[in-house]
Amino acid sequence: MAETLGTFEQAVLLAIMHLREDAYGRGIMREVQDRLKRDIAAGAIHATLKRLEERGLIRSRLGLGTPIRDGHAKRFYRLEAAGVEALNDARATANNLWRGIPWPLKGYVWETT
Amino acid sequence: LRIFLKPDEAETETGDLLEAYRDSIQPRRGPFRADLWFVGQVAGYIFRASAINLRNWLLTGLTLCILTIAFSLLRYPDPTAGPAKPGILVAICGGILFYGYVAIWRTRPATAEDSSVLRMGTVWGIAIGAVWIGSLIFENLVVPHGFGAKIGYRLALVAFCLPFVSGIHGAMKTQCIRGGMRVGFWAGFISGLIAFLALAVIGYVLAFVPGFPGAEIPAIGHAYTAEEFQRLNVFDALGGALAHLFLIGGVFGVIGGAVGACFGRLMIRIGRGSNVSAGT
Repeated sequence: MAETLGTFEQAVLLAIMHLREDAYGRGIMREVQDRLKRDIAAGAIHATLKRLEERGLIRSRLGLGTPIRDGHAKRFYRLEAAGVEALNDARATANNLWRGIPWPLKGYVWETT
Repeated sequence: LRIFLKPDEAETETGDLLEAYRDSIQPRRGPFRADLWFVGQVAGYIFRASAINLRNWLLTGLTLCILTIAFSLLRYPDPTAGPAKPGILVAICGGILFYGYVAIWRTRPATAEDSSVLRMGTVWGIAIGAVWIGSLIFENLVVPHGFGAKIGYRLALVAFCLPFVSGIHGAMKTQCIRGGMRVGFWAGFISGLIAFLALAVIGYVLAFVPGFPGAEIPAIGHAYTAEEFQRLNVFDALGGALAHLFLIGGVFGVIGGAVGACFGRLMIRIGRGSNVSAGT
């Protein structure tokens, strides 16, 4: 069993997987915002990236800056094998939980007054 | 960011913020709101960097409390206060042990709600502590006495009300009364610690720098020694500081948080009720 992932961590890892060679801080932030459909604090993304890197699920390298960043360097991320395994486990767990239940749910709401 | 982050992190994260500011935030929100966004993002980084060290900050504060209590009781015992009752000393030790346990074991959030509660409690605690510092300074050190005391009392009133507000905030954010109570507890704990340390410092200032209006006088109209003056003021400040740490901070924080949380929950229900009736 690989590492357990929270929803936000899954969103960050999936963003890295989706962006591939272009997975750096700002790009990941935009992708996660699109996936979760809400504004995300830059600090929250970076804290999560740092934690995932410490857990060995991703690794990073420094790249060159661009004029829009005033030349500040970019940090690019990529998934490690453990990160892929953790994502696979998260998906398998969700699939197991939903097995035999039709989606979207209908007629299960217990009305209270 | 350069102060709070490692140099390479500050470099890349400043770049990410600048890029976000220029490529989407400023065109969408305009310069003023984009500037506010930028400041908010930087504040978020600073808060996260400090929150990681919350446990260390709390343990450092508690260690300072223990040292202050021990030093003050041993070096400046007040002869007029009578012998210290063992029950009071046991209660103080128990209270500090409880706070130590909370600081070590409860500052690691396990869920998103824990994290949110801790963040709100810390922000409210620092805010309430700052108001208490203002109140204590105005009441004890500002001259003229009457003017300073008036502002000091008003600030104290505000500081008393804020745990209640923190409870409302916590309950509305977490959608449960327990969340509001927990925010009130953290706000009370942190503000109590801040007020304890502030009042201890003020007590020593009053004792060793004569002339401040807030100083206690051992015997009006009678001669007294410098040592008596120092003992009385240190002891008096210590009593007030302990009241802030345990009663005003700890106990009132939880009570104010709980009452505020019930109020917040009620506001949510009323809001839901009006939404339902508006919908029907």
